[in-house]
Amino acid sequence: MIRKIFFKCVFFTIIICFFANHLGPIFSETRRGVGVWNDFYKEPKNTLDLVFMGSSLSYSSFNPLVINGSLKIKSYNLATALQNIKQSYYNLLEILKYQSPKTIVLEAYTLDIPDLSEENRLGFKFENLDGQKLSLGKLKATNQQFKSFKNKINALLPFVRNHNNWGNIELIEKNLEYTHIKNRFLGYKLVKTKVTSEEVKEGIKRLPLTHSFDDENLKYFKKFVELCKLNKIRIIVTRAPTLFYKYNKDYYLQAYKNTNEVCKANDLIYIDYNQKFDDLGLDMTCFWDPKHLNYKGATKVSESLVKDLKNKGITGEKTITKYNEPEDYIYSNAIANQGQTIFKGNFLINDSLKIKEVKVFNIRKDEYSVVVKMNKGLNPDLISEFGIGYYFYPIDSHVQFLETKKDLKRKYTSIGDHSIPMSSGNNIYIALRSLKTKMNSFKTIKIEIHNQTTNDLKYLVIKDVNFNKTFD
Amino acid sequence: MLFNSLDFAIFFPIVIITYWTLSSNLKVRNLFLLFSSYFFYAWWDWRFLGLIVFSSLIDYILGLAISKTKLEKQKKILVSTSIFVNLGFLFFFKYFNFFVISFVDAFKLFGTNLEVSTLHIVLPVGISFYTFQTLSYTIDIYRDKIKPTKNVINFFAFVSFFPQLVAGPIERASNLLPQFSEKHYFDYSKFKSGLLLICWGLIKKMIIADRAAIVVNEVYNNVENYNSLYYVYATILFAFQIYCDFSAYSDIAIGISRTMGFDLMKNFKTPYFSKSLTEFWRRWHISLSTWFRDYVYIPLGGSKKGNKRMYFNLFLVFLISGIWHGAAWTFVSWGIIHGVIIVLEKLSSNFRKIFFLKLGLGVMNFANKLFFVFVTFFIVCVSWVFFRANSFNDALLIFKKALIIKEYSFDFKNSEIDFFNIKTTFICIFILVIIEFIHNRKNLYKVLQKQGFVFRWGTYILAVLAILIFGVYGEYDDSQFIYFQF
Repeated sequence: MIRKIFFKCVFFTIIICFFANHLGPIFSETRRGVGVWNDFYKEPKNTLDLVFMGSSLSYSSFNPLVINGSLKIKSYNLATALQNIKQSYYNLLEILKYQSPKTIVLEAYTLDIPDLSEENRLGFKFENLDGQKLSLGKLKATNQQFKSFKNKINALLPFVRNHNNWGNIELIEKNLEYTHIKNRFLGYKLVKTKVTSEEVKEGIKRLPLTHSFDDENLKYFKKFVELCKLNKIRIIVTRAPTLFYKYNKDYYLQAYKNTNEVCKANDLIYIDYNQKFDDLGLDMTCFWDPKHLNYKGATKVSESLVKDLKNKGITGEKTITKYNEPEDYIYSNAIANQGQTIFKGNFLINDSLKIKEVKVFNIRKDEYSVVVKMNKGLNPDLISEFGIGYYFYPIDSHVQFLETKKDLKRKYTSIGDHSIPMSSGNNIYIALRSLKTKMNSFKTIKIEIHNQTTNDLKYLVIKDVNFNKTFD
Repeated sequence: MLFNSLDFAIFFPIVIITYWTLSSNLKVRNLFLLFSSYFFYAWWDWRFLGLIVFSSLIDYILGLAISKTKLEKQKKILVSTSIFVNLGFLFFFKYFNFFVISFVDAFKLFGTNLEVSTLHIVLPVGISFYTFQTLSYTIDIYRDKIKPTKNVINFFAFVSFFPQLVAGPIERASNLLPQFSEKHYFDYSKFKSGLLLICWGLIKKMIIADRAAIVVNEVYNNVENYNSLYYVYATILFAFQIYCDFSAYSDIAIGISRTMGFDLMKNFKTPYFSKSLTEFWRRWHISLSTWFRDYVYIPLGGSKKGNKRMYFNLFLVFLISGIWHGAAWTFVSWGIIHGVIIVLEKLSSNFRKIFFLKLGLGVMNFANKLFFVFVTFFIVCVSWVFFRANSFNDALLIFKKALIIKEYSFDFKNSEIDFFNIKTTFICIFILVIIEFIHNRKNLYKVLQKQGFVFRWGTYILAVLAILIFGVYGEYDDSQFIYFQF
């Protein structure tokens, strides 16, 4: 009898846990960090060569697509908001269960972030743990990061933590309708907007004066380094550029000095992008807030990191036979001849800008990328004031009716706001993307180039495109 | 530890599994229960464990002594000692500062400032309950109603029995003590009904009481900031908050005891369905009201010494009841209101019969019953204002503002209160009233047990999920049960 009751209780508890587990995502607000972990787990085991770790400064600055295309490796950005080195250490233990990267790029701000108290950065700590699978490692990480039993339960059971959202009907509806689409940026956060000078002024008021590392952070950094050594992982410590560098040079010099000392003591490579601020041509247009790079800035920094990694001998041996992203095409000469060229020539936008080639290639089912290659040797900043989009038309005659929106089937997307360019060698590329497009219903593609300063519009119309052909 | 806390969620399964699997030896089981109860009590504050042990020891010894003594005078001295010690502890811990402050305030009225300092005294949780429980033991022995127990473990376990230790029901030795001498065999249906009762208690506490508390606390703690209608809402919500909170504790206590084979007395019988205040007190906190009846009202003469004496006795009982609830003039006022109305009910009993008959309310049909239920509820709510208000002045301010009808406004936008919360709480209260109404007529537990496996388990799962989803916990902290402060 007792055994029967015991099994009934266990069975009942399992049912409740099952419901609680499934209700957790319904009651929780969507957090970026959870999606990043979900996508990480979907990567085939032991296929990642390089992993980015750290805080938002990492996921705003380093685009794995740029790295992958250029170096023929597979990388992933597993940074989460306000992640400090203690969290990075436990995250690494989790990563090593599924992947065996050869290189970790650790953004140095994780060392700067102290754990002022258990309640400090609580939501971010939960976010980092929510995405991780339940395991002994997660239990250990939870136990080490939280002392109070209540916070441990809140960390392990998002349903308990968020159950008060039952009254938030909009959130629940949104979560019920949500279908997770794998983030194509492999953990990088794409932001298209630009910071305003008012935001920078506000941020300057809160700048720290001195820089130092927390003892506990140094302790966990040491553990992190030892764990990497044990698993034969090379660490590259980076410090992402911020706008504050210009206004707080003393602080950043201290940060550089302190980080450099710690890296030297552990025989680690350290790259501080604040020191390359001017060389990279970074300015306000490269940031979406005073601390975080937008797509333009991230592309510049990622491309610079590619050079640094190449210099350190970090290249891959992967043969990319099929592009998975436009960056694979742009950065890899191996597949530069693939895709369908639908235009080749010199289309003048203005005296110094011309379109040399337009290619279309199929990324995934019903997802296409249009790559516009600009003139060789072009300064990418010159075209930053241009927006580039494209239109598909079912028949040529509709090309004439440009003003009528009814006739237009506009598919305007660009990677980065206002066509942020990517560079490879001397060429500048703009990659545009269309999702859910039935290409075979169209015959004409129109590339629109919009000058945001003068408000001029120019169109490159490419007719008689045989979209029935599959673009491989 | 609180019943709706994580600590208890771990403590309870450990205790219940150990209790049933440890040993079938009665002594071992009772010893285990005793240590579990002391652990439970010490979890709150281990320093006061000594007090409950001492109180138990005194009454154990005195109980045996009273029974052995044949001289009436000696018996009186011994039972008086028990009363003196128990009430002495209660007075010191609960009322010392109150009387000092009241004493000083009284002299201030005459222009004399006394310099008397108060003590920093921590009120031991449950002292009002377990002192009454042990007092009932010695008094019943004195009255030859029960025999004292020689089994020290049983007695100590009876006093400190953790399910009812801190907020009742106040058990009589004649009911609970013999159960420690009986061997309990595992009864699956009793165990199951105990678990369901615990679940029902948690629903009342976490979904209704704690949700109502959010609004009640905001309004009653910021009396100047709200208009009249808020006080009406808050008072009605408080009426259900205190009922759900207290009855939930009792239900959980009874449920826990039942899972271990013990039967505790019922403490509430849908009191808000009462048609008079007299009936209300037969349904509300039954263990306390019967305790006062048996150990205060009857010894004072009850109704056997004429009407005038009866009215006086009734008034005194409710005055003491008010004082028992708390060391503040608001509780005294609450007790006085009840005392006065009970006396008026008795005084006007014949007049009311004739009056209501002439008004067509004499026949107890559904509509008339509903009328009297609402009137009684209204009177009870008026008294709850004093019970909940932070001070006597606050209570008067609430009444003053509540009577200004022109200031009644349904605008909740500019307040700190989430109107959604008020709406939700009222919906839950409505559902509670329906369930209790039906349960009064047809035992819903028995109806549920007759259903198939899928329906039963579906109900259990929904109940637990309802607590987990709609319950107030986590962000709002483990909320105290109201009667803990007594």
